[in-house]
Amino acid sequence: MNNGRLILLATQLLLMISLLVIMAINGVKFKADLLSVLPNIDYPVAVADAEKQLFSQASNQIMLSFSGNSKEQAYDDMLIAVRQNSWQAQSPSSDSMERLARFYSTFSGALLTRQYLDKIESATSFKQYFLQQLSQVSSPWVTHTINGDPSLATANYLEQLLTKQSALLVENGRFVAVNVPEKPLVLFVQLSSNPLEAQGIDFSIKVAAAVTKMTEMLGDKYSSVSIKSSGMIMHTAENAVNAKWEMTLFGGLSLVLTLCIVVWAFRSLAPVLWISLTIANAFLFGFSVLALIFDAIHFITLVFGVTLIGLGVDYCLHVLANRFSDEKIPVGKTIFFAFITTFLCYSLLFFTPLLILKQVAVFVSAGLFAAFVMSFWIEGTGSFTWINKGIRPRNCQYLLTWLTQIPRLTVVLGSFILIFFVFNTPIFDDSITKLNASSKSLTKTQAFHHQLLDQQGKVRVFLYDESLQSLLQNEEALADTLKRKFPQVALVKLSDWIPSKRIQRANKALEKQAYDNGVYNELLQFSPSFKPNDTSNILTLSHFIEVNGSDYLSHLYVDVNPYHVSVMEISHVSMLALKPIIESTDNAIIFDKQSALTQVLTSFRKQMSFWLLGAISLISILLWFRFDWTTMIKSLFVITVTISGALIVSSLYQQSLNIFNLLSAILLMGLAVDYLIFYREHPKTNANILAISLSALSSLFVFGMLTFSQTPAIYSFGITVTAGLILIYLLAPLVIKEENEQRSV
Amino acid sequence: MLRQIIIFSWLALTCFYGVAGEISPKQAHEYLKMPKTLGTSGEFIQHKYFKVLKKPFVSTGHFKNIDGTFEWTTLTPVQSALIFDGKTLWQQESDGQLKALLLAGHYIVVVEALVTGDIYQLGEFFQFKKLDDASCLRLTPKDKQMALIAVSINFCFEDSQLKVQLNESEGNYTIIDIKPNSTHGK
Repeated sequence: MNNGRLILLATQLLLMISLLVIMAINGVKFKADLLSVLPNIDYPVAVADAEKQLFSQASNQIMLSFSGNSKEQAYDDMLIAVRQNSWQAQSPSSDSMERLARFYSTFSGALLTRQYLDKIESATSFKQYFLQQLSQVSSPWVTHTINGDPSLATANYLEQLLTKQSALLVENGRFVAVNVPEKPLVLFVQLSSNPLEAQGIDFSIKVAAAVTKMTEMLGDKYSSVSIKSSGMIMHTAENAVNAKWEMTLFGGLSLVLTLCIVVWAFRSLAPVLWISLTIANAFLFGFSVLALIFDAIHFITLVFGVTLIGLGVDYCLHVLANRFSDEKIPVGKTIFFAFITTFLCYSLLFFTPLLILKQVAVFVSAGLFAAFVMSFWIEGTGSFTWINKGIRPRNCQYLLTWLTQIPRLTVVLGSFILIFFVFNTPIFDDSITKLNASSKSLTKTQAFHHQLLDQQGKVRVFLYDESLQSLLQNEEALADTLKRKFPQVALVKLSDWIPSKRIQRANKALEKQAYDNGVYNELLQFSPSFKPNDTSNILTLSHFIEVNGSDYLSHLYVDVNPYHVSVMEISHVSMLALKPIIESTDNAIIFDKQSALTQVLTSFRKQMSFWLLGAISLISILLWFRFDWTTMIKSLFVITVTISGALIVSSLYQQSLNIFNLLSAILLMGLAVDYLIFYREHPKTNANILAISLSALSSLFVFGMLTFSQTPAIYSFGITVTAGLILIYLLAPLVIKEENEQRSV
Repeated sequence: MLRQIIIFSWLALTCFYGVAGEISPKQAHEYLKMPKTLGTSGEFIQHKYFKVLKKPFVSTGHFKNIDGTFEWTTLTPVQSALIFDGKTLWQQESDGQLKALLLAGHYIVVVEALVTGDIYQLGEFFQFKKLDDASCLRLTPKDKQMALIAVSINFCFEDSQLKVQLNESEGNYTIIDIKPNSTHGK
């Protein structure tokens, strides 16, 4: 028998060493951005790929804003610091407007705005327009295009295009945000020439630290200047630093507290060794399996994974309590049954759509297995000298009496909780914003920067097609529909820069028709040689990018072979009004990640609720099968009251519940079954009560720590489990039966 | 060696000449013998010379700055107005409708400084150099973005009148003759 336990442990250790060697060879990658752990949204492949590419671009950039009296000097100093860090400042190019003007002038006649088309409807309206434009004291658009296109169509096109594209003006080589009265200066910084390099945690932390240092330094130098920074990398760095700190603090504290109570209870350091071995084995095995299965390990997984300490230590505590007590009752079968139920509960998390929970499932399940194997071996080993001074307190009878003498009280308490739950059912709020782990200041800065870029309240619609021309035509048709239905709508789109060939040809025909109708007579008085451009010169995307680069279009167009994807930004129309129009448009989809994720979470929560009810029913049947009807009903009562009570406490603390409160209910179910089995299976011995109490205390240390987390997902989880653990501890003794004492285990 | 000395001397002289050619706004003000303040209103005649047009385009009108609001009103050949309220530049069309000109907003500050002869304000955007003509200065934009309205500007003050020539890109230029309504103490 003991040889069997040793073989089991040796196999597990051998497997773990092999995995650790593989891990050392392959290396381990870590992640910290919360978005990456959320469920995938069911977008068309083209849109999902395009979004990924846009996300990657955005991850490689930070935005800085400067407000206050000496903002120009602070901006210039920052520019120097940015270059010293080998980052690339994206300053406005001084000759970009001239280049654009020269480029567009070569397509005169093909590029006409709606406003210009109205002006060339008659000679009178064109004359008025022409004279007014030339009377302007200074118009860069006219000056730079008139020699190439005296009809002023290009000047008009360029002015309209640049006016609606950006909320930023250029002053003295710096971007200026004109949306807010203080007109802050804006600086965009590209962090790496290869966006993939800008995704590591260490890179993010390094960048964030450098930006903070530069900002503080300039803040000291220019006290009147306010410098704000935002970007995905700042969120990643903040989350990573938080997670690292919490993991170290919570893990360390809960471990120390657990070991302290072990030393106190067993009056010996030997159990510390066994427990340390068990935890180390569990943690290393869980981590190595996790590293093998997933490409990158999320830091939040490890923070959740701290729960492994509280759970893994339980088996060892039961073994040690019985070895150190006078009764010496074997607990191998019981810890195995307890391990199986908890293992099953955690394993089920693997089938959730949340990556983070899949990782938690693998880490904790594998860790629990290792903890069980080690505890099983410790129980069987006889080769070690047990420095046994006996357990403390020597008699837990008072505690047991107290716990078992209050069944009526616990039933009343439980019933009260159930009634309260039924009449005051806690409300779930699945909004993804409730899970935002970033600090308020970072979120506020991001909102401010969105305001500067005029991005607030904009709806983004993705359009895709294998043919670029079909895509542009689809975009133009959608824009026409929107303008017809909502005259106040404001649109920013790819076809502003590159109209479809069909529109360009139609424009040329309209200009020619206007010329033939004498619309341009006023112009001909000044420039008798003017004639509409007869060449078949049509503007194309590739030509545009070749001459002007891709920066202008990088936020509006993505090439994801074989698809072309464009992004249309729509403002001044409500999502509700927009939805039916977009849904009836071919190859178009509203890209609203926030709402989509919220919907996914709502649907996921509903599924989980049903699953939880099913799992409780299944466990009840198992308990009936293993024990009897009475045990089943009592257990059902304990589990239901525990989950209900924990959710009530959580809702009182958090105002509304989220998916992580529900997920912790699954864990509570697993824990509750463990306690119920131990109470029902074993006699009312001192050792058993002590083991259960120590295990409850160690779990409380671990889960209680999580309630102090900064991350909503983690503290939600911690609150529910902590409240549930207290209830389980109080309610589980209900299943104790006197005949336990005669039961042979 | 000799060649290097010659090149170095030439470069040094060029730089010295370049630096020496620049004058401060205060010096520019004294050089032009301008009054402390010109009138904040006046009349203008604008001639636009575009290479593509066979004859200059002429427009006339008046301007004024009252309580921080600058208005540039064109009377001929069409009526229109540019109104800058200190924050936004508006274009008033012949039917009276106002349209915000977002991108041209910061150029109007320069225009206002030019037509009201505000040398110190111009000093923020331009470097000054003396021209052969004793009543004229050459203004060169400090920033290339400002060069979008003019590569350089000839700024002349004579007989209580301003003459501004905007040397634009591609050989185009604009001449604005400004007659301030009143001048105060020299």
